[in-house]
Amino acid sequence: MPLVKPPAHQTGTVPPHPDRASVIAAIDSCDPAVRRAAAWAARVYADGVDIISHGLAVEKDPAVAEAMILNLVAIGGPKAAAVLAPLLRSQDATRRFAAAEALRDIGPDALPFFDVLIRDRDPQVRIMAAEVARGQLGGAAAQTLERLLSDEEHINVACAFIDVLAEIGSVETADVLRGYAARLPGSAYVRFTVDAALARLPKE
Amino acid sequence: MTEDNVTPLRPGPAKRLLVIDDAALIRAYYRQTLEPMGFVVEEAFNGLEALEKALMAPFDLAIVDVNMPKMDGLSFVRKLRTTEEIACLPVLMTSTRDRDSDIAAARAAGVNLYLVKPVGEDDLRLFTSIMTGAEIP
Repeated sequence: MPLVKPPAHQTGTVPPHPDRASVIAAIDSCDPAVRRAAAWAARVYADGVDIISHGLAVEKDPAVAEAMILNLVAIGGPKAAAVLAPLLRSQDATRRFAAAEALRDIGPDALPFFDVLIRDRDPQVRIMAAEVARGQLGGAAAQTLERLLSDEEHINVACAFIDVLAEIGSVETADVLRGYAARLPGSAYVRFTVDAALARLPKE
Repeated sequence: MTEDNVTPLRPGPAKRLLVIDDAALIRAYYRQTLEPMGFVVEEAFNGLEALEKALMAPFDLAIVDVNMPKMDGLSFVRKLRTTEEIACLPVLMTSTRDRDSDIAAARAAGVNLYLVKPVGEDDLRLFTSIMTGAEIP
């Protein structure tokens, strides 16, 4: 039996209310359960976003990464959104989708990041950014999508915008969608997408 | 091609498709395109749900998206290929991602065919028929 109790990150456990230094050490633990617990514990500290961000940057375990992202959502605010926004570019599909869902859950604090990402040069980032608009960003996000749809050259991005607008759009959205469909009259996929969206939009 | 001139499948047991996409719109598009040919279409919202369905009933083809919550398309295919009961299920992956690295990653995961969205109705019917051994429209 050791005379000195080893640090939490070596024993595989994290006490219920660990001190900040223990949390910082635990976020680098080789034990996934400890890293997950550390992400939860970090929420109570002022620099909790920084601690979780540090862990998330190197996290390989999908379940732990998801837990870290959920804890960033729980902390919320623009700083958490700033950590999540770059993850829309992740090569890991599950992670970029989790980040989009998290930004969606963070709400209005994610709006400035949405406004930038939805205009990104990479169409894949624009598609993921559209997912963020399904959340509580309000009418501003819908108006942004409507404006950008008019000039969108990438059909997959446009259809992603249309799918989201079907959910968050208004009566006025219908004319925007019809206008886009008129640009590509020969595409059955666009026609299907727009027709399905028009059926879901509010009628009055 | 309209519903009236869609080529029906050969007589015999209906081919069963598992369409896996988080977007209800896409699932509906595939269903509307393929059901008139006689395919039986089952849907799953993400890779996890798809794994459960694939283990519960036999399918002739999985049509899989990449970007999905909980379990993405690549993770689904990797898991599929290492699960004995369903390891041989053919996979057609459809995605908006069109870089060589995306396609290489799909092949490495065990995807049989990769099509970049939007997949036109004719292509969808053609490749689904080829991959299930159905009569080519």
